[in-house]
Amino acid sequence: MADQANTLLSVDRLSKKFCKDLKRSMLYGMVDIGKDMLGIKSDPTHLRQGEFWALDEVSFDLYEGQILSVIGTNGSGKTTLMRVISDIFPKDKGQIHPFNIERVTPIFALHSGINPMLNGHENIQLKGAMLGMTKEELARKKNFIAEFSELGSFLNSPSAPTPPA
Amino acid sequence: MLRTLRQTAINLQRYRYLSWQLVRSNLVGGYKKSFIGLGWMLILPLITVATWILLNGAGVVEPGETGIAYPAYVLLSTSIWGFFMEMYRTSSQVLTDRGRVVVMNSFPYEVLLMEKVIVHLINFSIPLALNIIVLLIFGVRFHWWSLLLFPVSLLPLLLFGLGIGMVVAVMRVIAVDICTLIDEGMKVLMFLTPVVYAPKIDQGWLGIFNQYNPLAYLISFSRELLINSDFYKTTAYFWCALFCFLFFYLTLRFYLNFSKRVLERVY
Repeated sequence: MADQANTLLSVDRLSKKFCKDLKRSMLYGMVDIGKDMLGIKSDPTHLRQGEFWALDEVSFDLYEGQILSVIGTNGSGKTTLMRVISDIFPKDKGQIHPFNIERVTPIFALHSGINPMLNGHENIQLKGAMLGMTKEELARKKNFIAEFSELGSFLNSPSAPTPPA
Repeated sequence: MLRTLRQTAINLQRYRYLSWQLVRSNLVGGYKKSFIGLGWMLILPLITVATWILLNGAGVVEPGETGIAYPAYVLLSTSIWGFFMEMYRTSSQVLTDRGRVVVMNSFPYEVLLMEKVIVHLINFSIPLALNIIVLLIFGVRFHWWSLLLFPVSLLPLLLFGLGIGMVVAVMRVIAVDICTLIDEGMKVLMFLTPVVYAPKIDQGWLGIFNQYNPLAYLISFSRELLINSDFYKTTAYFWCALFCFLFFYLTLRFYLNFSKRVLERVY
């Protein structure tokens, strides 16, 4: 674990497992819920049949002002890493230490949550709110976002022509 | 207990703008392609009401002492049942409908429920207003206080529908077969609960079933309150209401604890 004053995020031996077989995965899901409700502790640190480590003891420190690129082939766990860091998925092993971070905003699958029937301006409000922005924050930033999108008057049209996520 | 409820309140407060945006997206987005647009929200309940008026004209079987014209009785009863059932239906699909969005955009799961509840209340209030007009046409007279208390009396029913919905929402992601059975069971429940008949059958297995069926008391209480300005089995109603609050709390915890755990299995 890093102790530098300007550390933003410290990830220590982070692991996440998934199951390759869908039906078995559903079954494990039911078993885990059942055990949890009965107060029986299950051990997430060992693999059951069909399971594999999507993230296996990943460690890194991220410092203020630093850009960290995670590069890997399709299915190597980049998105999973981001999801576990931003608490979308629970971790199975390891630690995540955020320092002085108000929130971690994952920006992947940009079209996710966009309603193709709404126009660009409406979707900016919707997507911005999903990313945790408040009404006031969005009002402040809406001109910048509109300009950044370079869509001009097309922002008044439905977003349907863009491919859905 | 208070910790879960307080955290839920904090999350809903923090993401209130998202709740509003999701409601708008749901209502406006749904009708945007249509020329009639939001007008459908009025037209669809009008069609239902017209059907009941037509049925009344055709003559229907008198199902026992209901106090008011049977079509009016059925219209109100099915509307109250619909309030419960629709809350169950929409909330039970919340993770299968919106799961992909929530695993891509990291926001609290309570917000999805809030959207469903608000849309449900809007969708229910229009037909309810129409139904009250129809009941007036059928000659039913209301006290002003029973009109005011009626929406409050529906709260336990809302929490009960939402509670069952939250459990099924989680299970629907991983246990499709069980949820299909539950969905079918909920349909059968309507015929077992005194919705289209008066709650006076107290013999046989149906009577025993309804003795322990909280829905029988919850629905009858709201219905009697509105049409007769009467408090139907008040003590039983309050026990059921208490049960619904506790049930809601437990199922909310279940939903918040396990939603992530099941969604990671499919997305």
